[in-house]
Amino acid sequence: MLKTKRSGNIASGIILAILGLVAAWASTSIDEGAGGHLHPRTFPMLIGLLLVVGGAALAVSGAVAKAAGEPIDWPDEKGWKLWLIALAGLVLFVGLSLPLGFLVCSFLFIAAFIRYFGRYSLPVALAWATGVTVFIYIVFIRLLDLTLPMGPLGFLA
Amino acid sequence: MRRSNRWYHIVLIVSVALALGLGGPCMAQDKPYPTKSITYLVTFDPGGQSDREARRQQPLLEKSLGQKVIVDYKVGGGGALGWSELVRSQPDGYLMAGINIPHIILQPLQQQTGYTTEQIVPVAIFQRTPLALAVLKTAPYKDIKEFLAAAKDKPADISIGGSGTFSGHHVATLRLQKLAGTKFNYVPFTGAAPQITAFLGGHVNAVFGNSDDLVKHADSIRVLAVADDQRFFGFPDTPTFKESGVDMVESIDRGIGLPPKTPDAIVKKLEAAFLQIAKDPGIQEQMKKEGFVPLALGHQESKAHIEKMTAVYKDIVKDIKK
Amino acid sequence: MEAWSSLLNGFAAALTPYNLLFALIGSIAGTLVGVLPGLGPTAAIAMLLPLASHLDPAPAIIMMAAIYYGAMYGGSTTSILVNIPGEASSVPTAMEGYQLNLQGRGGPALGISALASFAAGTMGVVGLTFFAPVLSRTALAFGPPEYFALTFLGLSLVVSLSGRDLGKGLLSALLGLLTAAIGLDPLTGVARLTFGSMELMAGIDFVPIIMGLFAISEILTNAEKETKCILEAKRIEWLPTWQDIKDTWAATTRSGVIGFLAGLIPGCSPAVTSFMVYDLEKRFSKHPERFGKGAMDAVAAVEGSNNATASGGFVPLFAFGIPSGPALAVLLGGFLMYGLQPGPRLMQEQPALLWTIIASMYIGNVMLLVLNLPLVGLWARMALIPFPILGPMIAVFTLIGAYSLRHSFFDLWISLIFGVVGYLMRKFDFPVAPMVLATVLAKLMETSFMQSLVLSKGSPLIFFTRPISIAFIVLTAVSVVSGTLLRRKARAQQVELEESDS
Repeated sequence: MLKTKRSGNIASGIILAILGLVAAWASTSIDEGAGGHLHPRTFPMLIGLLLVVGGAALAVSGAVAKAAGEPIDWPDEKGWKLWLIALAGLVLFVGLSLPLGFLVCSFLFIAAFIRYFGRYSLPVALAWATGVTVFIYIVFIRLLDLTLPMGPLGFLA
Repeated sequence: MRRSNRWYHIVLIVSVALALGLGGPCMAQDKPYPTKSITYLVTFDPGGQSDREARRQQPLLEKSLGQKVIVDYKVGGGGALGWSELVRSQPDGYLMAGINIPHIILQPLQQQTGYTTEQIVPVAIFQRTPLALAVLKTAPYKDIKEFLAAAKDKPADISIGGSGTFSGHHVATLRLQKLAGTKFNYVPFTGAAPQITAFLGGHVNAVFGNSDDLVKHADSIRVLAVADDQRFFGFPDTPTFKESGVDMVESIDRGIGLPPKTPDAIVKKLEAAFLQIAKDPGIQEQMKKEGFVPLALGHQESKAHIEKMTAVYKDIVKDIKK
Repeated sequence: MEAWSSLLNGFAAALTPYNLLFALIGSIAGTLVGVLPGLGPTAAIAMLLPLASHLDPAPAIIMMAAIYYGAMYGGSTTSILVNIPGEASSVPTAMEGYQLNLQGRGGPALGISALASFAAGTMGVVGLTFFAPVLSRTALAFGPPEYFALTFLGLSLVVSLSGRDLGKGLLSALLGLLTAAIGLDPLTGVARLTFGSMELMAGIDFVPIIMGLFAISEILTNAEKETKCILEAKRIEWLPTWQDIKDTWAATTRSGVIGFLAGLIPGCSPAVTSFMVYDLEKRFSKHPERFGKGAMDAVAAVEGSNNATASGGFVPLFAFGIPSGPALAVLLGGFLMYGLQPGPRLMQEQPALLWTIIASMYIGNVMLLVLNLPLVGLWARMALIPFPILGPMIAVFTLIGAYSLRHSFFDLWISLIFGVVGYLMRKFDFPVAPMVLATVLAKLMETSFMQSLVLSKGSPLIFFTRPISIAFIVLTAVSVVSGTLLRRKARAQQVELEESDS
């Protein structure tokens, strides 16, 4: 599946065409605006249809191409695992930053990332995490006075 | 006597222990509102007029309420995103949002926006920006009568630029059309800055503009009429629409709102704090310099004003939506 | 000449220790918010407004102006070092500068971008000093049809930004246009493609998209490859050489002129300008094949044009009180706070104040150069930090930066989604630049098109009857045709190369 540029073109072409179709379909339910000469749906509808045409063309050109093209440099099984763990870490960071606050999340994320991906010792990971978190606190919260979610550390704001 | 004294001590010791042991949140029950920091939600970009107003009030609010006031932002949908967050949040007085009229009236009239006008509890309205009709100094119309005569002569020929559709400027144009019995070619822009730039460049014939934008360009423009009850101090020689026989009053008003079902005591407390600032002569002077009319409408007056304008706009919107 | 004596008086006022101090504070604050991704001068100036009200007008406005143009210096840092363009206008910098960094030339790239910022920024101030009265009316010459023609020209750049496959470039641009269409229609306020979601109603801001496409997808790519260190080169250079400066001065000068002129047009986004100078340099360059793989002259041109645009933006501000972006709108608020209305009258009544500010901008640019050059070597050493440590730092700063823009968690999810999209685009060989360009252009393009048709009552002739609009349409045609020819030539050369290889 999707080993070569050719199959990649077919797949991405189909995805884009479907996306275009969804956009064009969703455009039909856009309300009419007041006073304008052109309906507000004109532009999204046009883009959607162009995406359908372009995506289909890409898929077809991939399908009829004789050469399979160079292989796509997908990661190996271990690479996928690392990729997924990195993404999961990011998702957790974003998901937990409201309840826990950015400071706690940054600290945990950085420490875990350094420990897992770099195989550094725990003290090293914690030291980096502390340093960056303190930097964020001083610069973003104290100096620039940004209103960031703080979680249980709300008293620091 | 001794007995009450003992109770007093127990309460004192317990509350001190709670305060020391568990920190801020537990003190909330004992002291009157506000006991912790209050979030002032701005529904437009940082740096915009609403933000600047909030930042002007922030230190003064902190002084009078005795708590930190944090300016936070929820930007998007022309303010709708922030207001829908406002009406969904706890009515405990720790989240308030800047409100703009007619935005909070017109948006729910146009489409589903996640809030209704009635849900927002207005605390105070502190600033008015009357709308005015203006042309360039080089334009052939010397006053509003000539302008309207020309419009009746060639309907839909004169273009009026405004910011947005279903906005104060758009509605003002529609009202003028209706009252004067003619048509204009309304050209919407994405904000006041591009609107005024296109106007100064002569790309539209006239604008319905905010008073503060128009005073900036007083040298190169001619203001034909102001849509307010009284003449605007920035253009003392310009008549109001009413004086010119067109009965319309249109303005953009800024105020502050709370979630539905907020207790009266909290509304009163915040109302007092905002009115104190709104009545401060220094603040009023600053606003005037920037081209705004300072106001000090309390909770009841603001509510009445919003209700009155809602009725007016419902009629006009009926005409647009047809 | 009158301007000379006024300028000298301005310098006399700007060089007092008090005013110098506030120029310095502004420069430092500007560099800081410029370096931090997502944060920009707008919020920084807005935050300082209440504080500034305790100052006299001159030092306050000197400081706020310095934050504004100072932020332009910092903008390139994260683009070059860690592939995070903090705003759309530094995307081309990231495209070239990050490649240079991987090759061990991050230091020279940072140094050149500081020098180019200084040179072009100062050129812009010179333009402001001597040509403002002549050129100020440019701002007013642009109406909706002109803006539409301008965006048309901008979109034609897709042809040359598309890399190997024009079709994929076009699809990438369409994807960008589609993303930008989500939310409220900017003119009619009607909800579009929101599927009933309040969050989508607010629209998708392009900064979280850019951060996802660049920074987050970079982290994912490096994670899967188990990168130890992002640096690929053995030999590392810390500072630019004379040769680098010789190679880039022409690009800097050209971009200074173009950037300044583009700054005169209030509705022209700085991102459009930076893509235009990028494209132009590719055509002027003696080695266009290096573009996309680390071209120093591109870094110089893009960073130079950003700074010249910033200086150019003061022309419509001083002449008419027209702000060309949110940051200058807040700065305008600073003037109003003192009851000063920028415009023709202020020019006559308070010339001394304006000249003091203009003079302070020369001084501020020198300060910024002096501040930024010594930092170059220090910043460049960041490339030595192992990826497992650098990666999470990039992620955290990117996400906090994306949050600080609209204070929205939704924007963070957008960043992650576009991180994955960007990752897939890399694998499937889709160029990212056309998408960014299209996202930036979409709103202006659509609104100016609709406004033009309202003005002309539906006739498309309006685009062909106005001189500026026609000029841009002709330029677009030229750009598309010459771009296609260049593509052919490049492909022919490549085929030749491949054949001689085998």
